[in-house]
Amino acid sequence: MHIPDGFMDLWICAVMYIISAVVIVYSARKLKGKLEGPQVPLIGMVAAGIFAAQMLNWPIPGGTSAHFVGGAIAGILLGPYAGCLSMVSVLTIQCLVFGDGGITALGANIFSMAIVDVFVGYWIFTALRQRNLDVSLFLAGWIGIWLGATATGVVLGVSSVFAYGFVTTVSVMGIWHGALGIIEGIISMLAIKFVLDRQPDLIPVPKEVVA
Amino acid sequence: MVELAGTIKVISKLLRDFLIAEEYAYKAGFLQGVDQRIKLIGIFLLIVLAVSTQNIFFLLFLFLFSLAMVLLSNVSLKIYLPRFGFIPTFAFIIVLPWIFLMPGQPVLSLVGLNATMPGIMYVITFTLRVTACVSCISLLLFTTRVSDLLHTLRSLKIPDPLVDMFGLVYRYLFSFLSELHRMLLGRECRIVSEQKLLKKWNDGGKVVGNFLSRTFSRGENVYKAMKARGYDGTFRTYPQDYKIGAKSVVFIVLVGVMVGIWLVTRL
Amino acid sequence: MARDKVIEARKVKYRYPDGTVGIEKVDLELCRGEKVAIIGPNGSGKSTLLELLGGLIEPTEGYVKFFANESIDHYEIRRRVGVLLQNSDDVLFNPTVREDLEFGPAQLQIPKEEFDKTLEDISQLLDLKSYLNKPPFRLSEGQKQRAAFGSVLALKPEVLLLDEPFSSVDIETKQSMIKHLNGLNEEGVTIVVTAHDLTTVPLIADRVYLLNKSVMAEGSTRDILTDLELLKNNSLDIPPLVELGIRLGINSVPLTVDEAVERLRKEFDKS
Ligand SMILES: Nc1ncnc2c1ncn2[C@@H]1O[C@H](COP(=O)(O)OP(=O)(O)O)[C@@H](O)[C@H]1O
Ligand SMILES: [Mg+2]
Repeated sequence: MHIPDGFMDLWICAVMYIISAVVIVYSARKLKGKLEGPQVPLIGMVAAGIFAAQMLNWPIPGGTSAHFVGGAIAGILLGPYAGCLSMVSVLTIQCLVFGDGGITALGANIFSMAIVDVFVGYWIFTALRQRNLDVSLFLAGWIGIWLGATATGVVLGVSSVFAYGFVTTVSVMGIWHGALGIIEGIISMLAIKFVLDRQPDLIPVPKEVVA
Repeated sequence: MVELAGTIKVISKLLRDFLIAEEYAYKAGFLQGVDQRIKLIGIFLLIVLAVSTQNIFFLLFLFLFSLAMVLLSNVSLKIYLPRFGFIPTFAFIIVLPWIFLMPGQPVLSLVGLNATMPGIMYVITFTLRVTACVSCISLLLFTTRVSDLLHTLRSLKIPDPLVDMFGLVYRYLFSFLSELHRMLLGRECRIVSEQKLLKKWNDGGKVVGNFLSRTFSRGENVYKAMKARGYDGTFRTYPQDYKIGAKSVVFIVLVGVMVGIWLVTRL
Repeated sequence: MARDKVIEARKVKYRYPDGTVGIEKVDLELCRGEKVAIIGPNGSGKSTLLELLGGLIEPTEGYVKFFANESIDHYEIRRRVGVLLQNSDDVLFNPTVREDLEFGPAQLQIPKEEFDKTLEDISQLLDLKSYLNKPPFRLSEGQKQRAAFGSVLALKPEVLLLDEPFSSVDIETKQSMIKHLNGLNEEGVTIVVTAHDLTTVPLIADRVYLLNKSVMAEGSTRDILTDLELLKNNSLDIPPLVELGIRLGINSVPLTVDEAVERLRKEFDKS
């Protein structure tokens, strides 16, 4: 899902940079305070784990490549703002240190994986967790990556340097990640439950569940 | 526990890639001596040029330009080229069908499909553009230490919480990968990989659980170790010398020349 | 100046988030220029106590006071108290040894020129020169331990808290570390080490706390290490030299090899 340089028109790169910058600045404000306290190791470990899992990737025809993304996990475990910034860090390190994903495409990559996946995942989880924790985690992982991939399809589709049309890119990204997203959903659920076992106080369980 | 030997290789490669800049950034060379901010902005600009042109000669020239930079920076091409070979190959395969899909004069027929001239040109231009871009960004990977990069990002007015997060994730990533590396080389893992499939899955699960537990407590200890040495939420580094030396000026001139060529090809 | 308190712990208890009690009811006092060892079997809470004394974690009950000052700020504690964690892999979290040595001084904003000089001294002293640009995970255990030690020394602390610093080092490193620590102590640095292997304790400590969840005994190194009953009750191995001395019936049991040689010479000369 990392778009390299040269796949997108310059104007759309710029638009995506602006949108992402707005969300990043907003998240940084919301995060306030410094990176201190017991959240620090958690942020580090979650980001590192996501990074490592992302490195296992395989190409898919007609789009870019598919791999585990993990934005929903970051959003749920770290909260949407820290989750967003940690995913931004992961993507920036991949771009600047590993050459994975382009530097002009960074805005778009951040938008799909560090914004859409993180916030959508987080919202789905908060909306559904009182009904059923497992299902909410699974859906957060699945739908988060699905929409994120669709966003990638859209930016590629509107780019004229990338000859494939809008319908092709959106449906290819959408269909592939709709299917592969199921795996992402399952992994998200297992990973978050593992962390919650160790740190049960991390996400306070709403009272309604106990009743 | 898919394939132990394979996994160890992947992780070792990751660690190596991770540290490649640390290896080369200390060597004396052209780009190593360019002011970090100028280098980052210059390379970004070169990629922007590549992204906004259709001119095949410019792209080719930019690619050769980046290779010249590699040689001037004392990085071996043998290590440099394989580092990013995957992305251009992948780009090429993805757009290959357009040789036939692009409308235009057929120049060649293959099993009932007509390859067109515009199609061929498109595929070549696209692949070349991606190659030139990846090659340019790799210049950065090979010649810039991450701790310097942090400093650069800060001086470019990237918000502090983001730069601190970046530093934090980077350090944890490093600990995580070396822990993973160590575990994969460890006895526990070898024993599991020699067993029958069913037992393997079972014990493999335990190994993964163990690994996660261990990395979590390591994560906590790393935080204590950072705290013990004065970490309080902000990563500080020693400032680089911001004297803009001869190498920086030469680099600016070279990038200027590339912009000039780009303008000429647009006429 | 002799009784100038640097760190003081009162009725300290620490409970980990999962409920495990690390230590409880610990009283401890550390004076300037002392050399103290905290001994105890595995799991007795040595690391927990050291982290509390270093201000890395906060007591669940009781308090730890630094430099007899109630309202000391975090920055000052960090400038003055150096802590070396038990596992060097945790300490070396930077991509190169050089950056690990640089981390503390950069965080605490020690001037670059001063650090450059310190780096030179430390890499010379700990024989790290040729590894400075290497990633820590490529080093041997002994090299790692030295690098970790160096990363704490780079801060030039007045109080050094070291968690089992000799447990995985080779003999030469151990000897040079001990020598260096004693040198620092003579310059006025207060030193605390933890240990479960008692053989090195006499070389580095004048006073000992025996810990087993809480303080079981406190006294001079000689008094504690020759109290076989006490050691046995707390699952600690009796140092071979002490056992030798006691079995031979030498009065004033030797604690170090040098002492043993001297005493045994005397006994030989007598007979
Ligand atoms: N992070 C932790 N979480 C929970 N319990 C812990 C943790 N670290 C140590 N403990 C427990 O606290 C007790 C004291 O441990 P520690 O201070 O490491 O002892 P020592 O250093 O003497 O071996 C032990 O029972 C240990 O299991
Ligand atoms: Mg310990």
